[in-house]
Amino acid sequence: MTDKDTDFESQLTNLQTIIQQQRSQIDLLLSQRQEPSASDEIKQAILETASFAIISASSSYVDALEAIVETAADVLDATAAALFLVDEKNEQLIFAVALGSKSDEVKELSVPIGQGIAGYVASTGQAISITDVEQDSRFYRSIGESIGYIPNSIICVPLILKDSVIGVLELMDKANGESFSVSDMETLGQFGNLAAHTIEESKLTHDMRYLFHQLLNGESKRFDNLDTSVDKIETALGIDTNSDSIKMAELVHELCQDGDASRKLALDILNNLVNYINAKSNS
Amino acid sequence: MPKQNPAWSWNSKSSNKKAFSSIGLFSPISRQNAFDGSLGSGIKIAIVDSGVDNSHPAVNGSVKGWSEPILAEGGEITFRNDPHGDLFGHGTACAGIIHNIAPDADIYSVRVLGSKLSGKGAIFASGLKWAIDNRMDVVNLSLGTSNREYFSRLHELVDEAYYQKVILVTAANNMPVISFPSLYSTVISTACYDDEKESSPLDYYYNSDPPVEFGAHGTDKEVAWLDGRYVRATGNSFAAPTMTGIVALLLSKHPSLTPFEVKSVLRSLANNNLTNTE
Repeated sequence: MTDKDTDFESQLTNLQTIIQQQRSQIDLLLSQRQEPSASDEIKQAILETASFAIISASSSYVDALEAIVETAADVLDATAAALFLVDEKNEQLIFAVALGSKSDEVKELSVPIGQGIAGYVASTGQAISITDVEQDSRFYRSIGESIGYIPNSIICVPLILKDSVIGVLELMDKANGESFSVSDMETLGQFGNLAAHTIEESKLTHDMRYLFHQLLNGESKRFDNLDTSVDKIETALGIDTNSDSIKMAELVHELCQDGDASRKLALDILNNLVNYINAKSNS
Repeated sequence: MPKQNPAWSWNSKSSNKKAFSSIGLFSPISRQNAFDGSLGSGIKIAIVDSGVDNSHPAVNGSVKGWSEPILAEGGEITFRNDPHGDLFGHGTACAGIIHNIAPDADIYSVRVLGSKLSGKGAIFASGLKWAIDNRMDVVNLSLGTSNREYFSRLHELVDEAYYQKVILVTAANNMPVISFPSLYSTVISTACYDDEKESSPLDYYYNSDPPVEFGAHGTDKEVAWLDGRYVRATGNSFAAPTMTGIVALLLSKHPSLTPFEVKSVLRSLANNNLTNTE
């Protein structure tokens, strides 16, 4: 068994322990539900467990982001929601996920970093909640005119990872018409932390798949970028890749260059190996 | 007693709002001799934020100076001092809160938030440095940074402010993340609290389990915003200016107080000091 296998199994064990702890916490809180003050804690525990399960089950980067936003909106009874990612190069916020009646229109938009509540939260890392935001004409009117939807209340928290704001999570218009509360902010803040880490992990998975796709294409020009791609992933993960892993990638690449038959053979072998590891992990 | 507000190190459970007894040394201090009758006259307050709309009715022309650090390509910082507006609305909200408490204080808008993320840590530090160098009495910092690269630089500036008797009032982050300068021990780190609708704007609480040391108004609060309008807002960043205003009242009446003494007086006059409720 390699170090990576050990790490994977260790992580899986840790996650199972966390889930079990959360279940125990919910059971305990449900038994105390006659106390009014327990309701927020129950909501929080359910949120953490439910969102963890949904997000963990997500198989792609987009699925994970949508699961984050959907769960957050559901728990806090929001009518619409959006998750923006920070595009540092272009100094703007990009709509990664938008939920609500006008979500398709919103997804086409990006927002300059110097505008609106989301821009403020991305710039400062401070969570805020605002009601009567339809009066914030500079930002929400321009968005509103584009999509025909102007929210009345907004709660916005940063997604912070490794000391940086990587995005913001914003919910709009509580279903009962009330303002978002401090308790909502606390809940969404924890959700934001979870989301930030999930986004980072999802990005890494996405990058790994892209790298694998590059290798299977068998184009020598792209193979030249292997070291750079591996370095990028290593930096993000905070690990040093075993030189055997790179050697293995080189061999796969070489097999693919040999033609379709060799490519198919390599794919079958890798599929069987992955299935074996998954079955072993689930047993 | 209102429900406590969340902030890391100071959670929302009301049981955490611990009452404490004053000690004899502080007993002569009262709100009456500390700041009653004060309107903040003679006090300079810097608002390091997104700029201030000086024409907003809630601000009422109280901004007397402007500064905006500009980062050149070579890394050099220069300062623009011509009047500027507010890009987000947040700085105007802070100014309105402060002006409501200390209407005679002079406000200086230090705009460090803009259309760019690049260099924001350096710009933020430069804005704080400007406030110290220009002898502000109180600096409202409703923002911070999580970037550890600026830990040392900001720490130096916060110490410099302490020794120059410049009071720094900071908003703790609402999330359990590292955020500077609110985590430095010499600042007045502030969070908001719930159930404030029936209380006085000058009500605040002391927390004996820092880093957050004070809780002030900042929940569902009507605040000034862009284009002369108002919104209702919640967040620790709206609680800090309340404490800034209170500090301005205190310093106006007792200008020789040092940061340590200001904190001690604030502690003594907090609403959860049992001596004040007896």
